[in-house]
Amino acid sequence: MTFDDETLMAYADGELDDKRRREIEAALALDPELVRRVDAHRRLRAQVSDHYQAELEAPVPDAVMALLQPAQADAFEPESDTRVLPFIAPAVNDRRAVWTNLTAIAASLLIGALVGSQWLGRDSSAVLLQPTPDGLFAAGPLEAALTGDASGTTGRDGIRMILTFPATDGSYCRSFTTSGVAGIACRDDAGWQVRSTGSLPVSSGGEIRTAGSTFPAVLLEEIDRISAGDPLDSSGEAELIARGWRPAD
Amino acid sequence: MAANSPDSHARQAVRDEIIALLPRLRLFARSLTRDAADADDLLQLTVERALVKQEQWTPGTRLDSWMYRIMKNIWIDEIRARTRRTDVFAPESAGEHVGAEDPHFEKRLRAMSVEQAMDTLPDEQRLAVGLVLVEGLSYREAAAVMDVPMGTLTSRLARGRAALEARLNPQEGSAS
Repeated sequence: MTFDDETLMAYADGELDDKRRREIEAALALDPELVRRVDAHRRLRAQVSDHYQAELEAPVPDAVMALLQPAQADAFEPESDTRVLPFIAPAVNDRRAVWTNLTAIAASLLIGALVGSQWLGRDSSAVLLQPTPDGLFAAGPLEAALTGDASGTTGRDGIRMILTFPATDGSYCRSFTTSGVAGIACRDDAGWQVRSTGSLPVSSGGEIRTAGSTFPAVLLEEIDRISAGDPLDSSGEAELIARGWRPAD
Repeated sequence: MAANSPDSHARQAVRDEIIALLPRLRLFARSLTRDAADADDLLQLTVERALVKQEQWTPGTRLDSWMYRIMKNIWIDEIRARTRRTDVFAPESAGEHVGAEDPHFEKRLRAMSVEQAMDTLPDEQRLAVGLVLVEGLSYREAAAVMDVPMGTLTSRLARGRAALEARLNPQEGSAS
């Protein structure tokens, strides 16, 4: 059976229905040339999406945020519906407040954006997230860092472990940051399930800040919600790392 | 306080949703424009227009699709026209570099070539690539933003990708 380029592209993008997908997968097993063509689609997708991914880390321009500032706009809102839209920058310049607001709302949407364009589809060595029927799991450097790195350290790939804590469901969870993104992952039999993510605030110089105080508030609340006790200290954590995250008997 | 009227709450809710969409909208703007300044202009114009036309958005429908569509239209009508007038550069092939001793140089060159390659695409292919490869929209969602049938979106995307592949990975695109 032969497949045209659009079909292979749609397969590489996960856009085919089950029947067509199975047909292609059967053919892939027999035809290295087909594999090469599908890989080329995936590689190009990763190449383009990786290039633009860095844009997510830059702060949104003040002028745009100013358009969306609520306080001033609403304070002067007339009774009728004829108010002037707040095109003039109000005197609110607290970027952190803006970002807190942003991250609170963005967290759930961001994961969609990440899955779509940022973390997936690169060559396998750099994939950070693996979608499965049971949820999103850490992969590659992120999985390695979650499994082996002590909290407070930043690994080669810029992935920083923040803390380890026990969750109410009996698992251990860790908070982490990587370029522009913060997240919480919990350990189960299948690996590290990434439960939540949010965007990190960015300093005016464009540099990502990784101090604990800038960890997105929405994720801190999430930790509070699922945590069953205090975070582990370094020796407790080292012990868990040493025994491969198996619960103590 | 007037801010407590239901109307004001609705407006505030939309503003919050727009704020949440900003990173994605910005990414899309960046994929359409040649430089960050144009992207920021495009983002600002899009947000302004969305606020002005807020009443035209139907609550319960996808705000992101609506805003992508606004951005697409502004880009075609205004930004694209502006940059076309000042268009003086010809994209180069990325296959000629020899900076193997400096991996950063090579990476920079390759990174630049993605934008150069994107710049050579016809508008409708660039939109398809931006929505699907950069924004991560499904074909169906991207087709809806572009107001075209799925088949049209698919063929534009395939042609855009073939052109990018030929420019970015010329040695791999042909027989091997």
